[in-house]
Amino acid sequence: MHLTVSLTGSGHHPAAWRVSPLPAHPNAATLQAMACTAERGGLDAVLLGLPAEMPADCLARANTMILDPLPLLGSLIAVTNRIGLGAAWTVDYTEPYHVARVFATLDHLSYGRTAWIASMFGTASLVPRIGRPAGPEDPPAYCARAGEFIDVAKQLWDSWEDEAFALDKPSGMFVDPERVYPIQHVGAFFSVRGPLNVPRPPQGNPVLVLHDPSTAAARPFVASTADVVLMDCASLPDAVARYRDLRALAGRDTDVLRILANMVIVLDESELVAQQRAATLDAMIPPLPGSTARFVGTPDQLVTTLLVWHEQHACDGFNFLPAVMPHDLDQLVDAVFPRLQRHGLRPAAYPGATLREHLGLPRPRSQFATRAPMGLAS
Amino acid sequence: MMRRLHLGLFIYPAGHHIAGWRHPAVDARSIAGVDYYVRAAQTAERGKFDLFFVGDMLAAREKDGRVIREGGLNNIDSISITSALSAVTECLGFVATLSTTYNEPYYIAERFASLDHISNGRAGWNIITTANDDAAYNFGQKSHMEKTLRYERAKEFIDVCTALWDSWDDTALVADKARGIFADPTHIHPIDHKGRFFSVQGALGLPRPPQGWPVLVQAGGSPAGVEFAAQVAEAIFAAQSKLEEARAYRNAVKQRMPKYGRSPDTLKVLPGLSPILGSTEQEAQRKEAELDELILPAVGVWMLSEQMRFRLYDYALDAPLPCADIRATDQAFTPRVVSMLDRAEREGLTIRACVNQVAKSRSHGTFVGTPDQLADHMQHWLETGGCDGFNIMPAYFPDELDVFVDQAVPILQRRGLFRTEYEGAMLRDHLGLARPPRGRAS
Repeated sequence: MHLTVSLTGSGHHPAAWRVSPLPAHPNAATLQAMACTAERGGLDAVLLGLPAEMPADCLARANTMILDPLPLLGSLIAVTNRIGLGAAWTVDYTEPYHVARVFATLDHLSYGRTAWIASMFGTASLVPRIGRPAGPEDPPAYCARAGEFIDVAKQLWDSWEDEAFALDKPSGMFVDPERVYPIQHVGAFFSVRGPLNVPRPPQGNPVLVLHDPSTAAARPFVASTADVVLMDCASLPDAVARYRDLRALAGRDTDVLRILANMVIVLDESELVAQQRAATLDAMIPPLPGSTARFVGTPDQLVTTLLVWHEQHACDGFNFLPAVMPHDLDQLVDAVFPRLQRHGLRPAAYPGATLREHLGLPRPRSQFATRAPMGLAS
Repeated sequence: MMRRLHLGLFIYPAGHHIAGWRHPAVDARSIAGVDYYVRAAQTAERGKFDLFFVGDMLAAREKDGRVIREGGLNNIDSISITSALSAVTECLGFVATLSTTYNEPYYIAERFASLDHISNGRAGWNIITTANDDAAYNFGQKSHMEKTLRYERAKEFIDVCTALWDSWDDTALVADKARGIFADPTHIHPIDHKGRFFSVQGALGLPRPPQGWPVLVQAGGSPAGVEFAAQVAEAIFAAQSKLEEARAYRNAVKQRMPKYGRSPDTLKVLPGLSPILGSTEQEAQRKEAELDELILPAVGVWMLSEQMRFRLYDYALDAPLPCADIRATDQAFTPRVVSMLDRAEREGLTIRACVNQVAKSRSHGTFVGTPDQLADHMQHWLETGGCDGFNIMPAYFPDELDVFVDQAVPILQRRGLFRTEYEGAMLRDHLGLARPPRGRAS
């Protein structure tokens, strides 16, 4: 069972800031402490910049502030050692060269622990701030552009073979030019010559995370492209059906796909206390009627729920959205994870060094490595 | 009170000397992981440096479509490194470099606001317009934007960013838990910008950065760059290697500031300086010779050709630099190139001699000698108006940085030329720059 947690400043619930003891102003220290907690619990990864379920334009009442997830991810690298670090960066309004270069850098700095959450479809509020439309509105056309964006980023990561970063002092060969390829990409949406100016990332390609889209037309693209899919299903039957769909749509070996169910959690040692906390929060700001699973109860009850979802083939694991920080994360790490370990569902220690290793995903070989050196020059 | 120096550490992954990574003391395999940079940043903080500076490149370094073999230096993303290091330092400032030519202002305003929040007010932005033509091909462009246009775009870019940073009053974040008021919308002012390059409506998604704005840094030496610096720069990473040139440049920028309503005191000019230190002059010279022996001429000729925008590959290494032919190309030469051409003509320098100069520090200032001599040099530049401090460019890491911090910094401190403790928590405090009042942006 693979487990990740989405980190936010005060918690996933829109009213969390009113009950959380954490400071309200945006800062990295609280998220650094949370990442260390998650690492202590042995989670596969923390995910940054996932959109919270906030009513639109509710800044007067709710903490909708989000620090840019990229520098925030950076700020976690040196204070953690093993846990994976994922950050959202939309495919709208940016260029594949920027994304490839930043994630290659983050993956090197962290010795192979990063994931790119390529967000799609969620940038309506950015349109006036950027001053032009985000891209095609029609889902198939949008996916075609997103697909090309991701393909170019992967080509750029692969534009250095692993051996290209030679660093051979005697011959003075820092880079082996025979193993670095201009990608010469010319497509419908992007034209990028390459190569990248950063060596191939330790993971080959950082882990690619996509959201299961609300529009069914985009689902085949997501299922066939992602390493990890984050799935929103309110109930067990929904999740079982969606999990089956996504795997059928993957069109490839599903051993290289991890589907995680998003789950909001409100946890306390007493079920009554947990319910009272949830009711208090909902009375302050009612959460949007969403499709995300929500669990309110005790750690034992959560373990039972997770086991049932697991046994019913509803998902490969969970991405937890703690309602209030740090309380619900602490409960998860201190009370839930030891029980999962006792059930043999989680390893006692990190199995490897990179996020791909934590997730049991293979390290991809450079797509250019099989070609004749510099065959692209002509 | 005696003027004091400001010091930056300019990090360059494999060292500023092009062959620095080949030095036996360098663990070249370690240069991509965070530990390498943590060590450098913590050393700089131990030395009470003002800031840690990271550059930016948006294309691989190439010759004729091939990446450079001897030092196609990996230019890794500056925001990623600085944000990582902010977590393991307390006072050191961080200047990250981002281009206004290949980005959108809203994103960049948010990114730097975030870096400033994450670092508790220690962020600076080195604003560049990107000089290398190759970058265009990585961003779907047929050619690089022309220079005048790039600076026009940069100015509008900065205007949008500063307006966005100012879109929240400092009091907008209320966070009244009992009453359930998170922010006061009457203190959040969406901007409505329509200009030649950008149309931006809305407010930033974050409160005003701790420093108001991150410190605005710039490095342009061309006439357009000087004008831009006079308008917006609070610190300049300068490239002059000769004192008279440095003084002239610093004066030129400062003289232009009043016409933009700015006091010349609100600008700090830090030329690059790459020191090679020894306990005696002879030892320092021996260290320099050891490093220079590691330079492969091919990479130096490439660096020189790139800098001059003139192909020197078919000339003999020991031939004189063909200054007349280079000048005949009639380009808008950078100050570094002008300086090199003047000197080559004056002294009859060969290509090899110029190559060594470029390969040492990309034509930034170098100094070879004892720590005392270096302190004399720095003091002289400071006291004669050549600079407000230096951006230190170690030949390789970590040894050459350690030597500077352990041996040169204490001498500067004893002479009262450099702080012995940080006197504030933010980068603006270190540089003696005021927090911009809200709404200063025009």
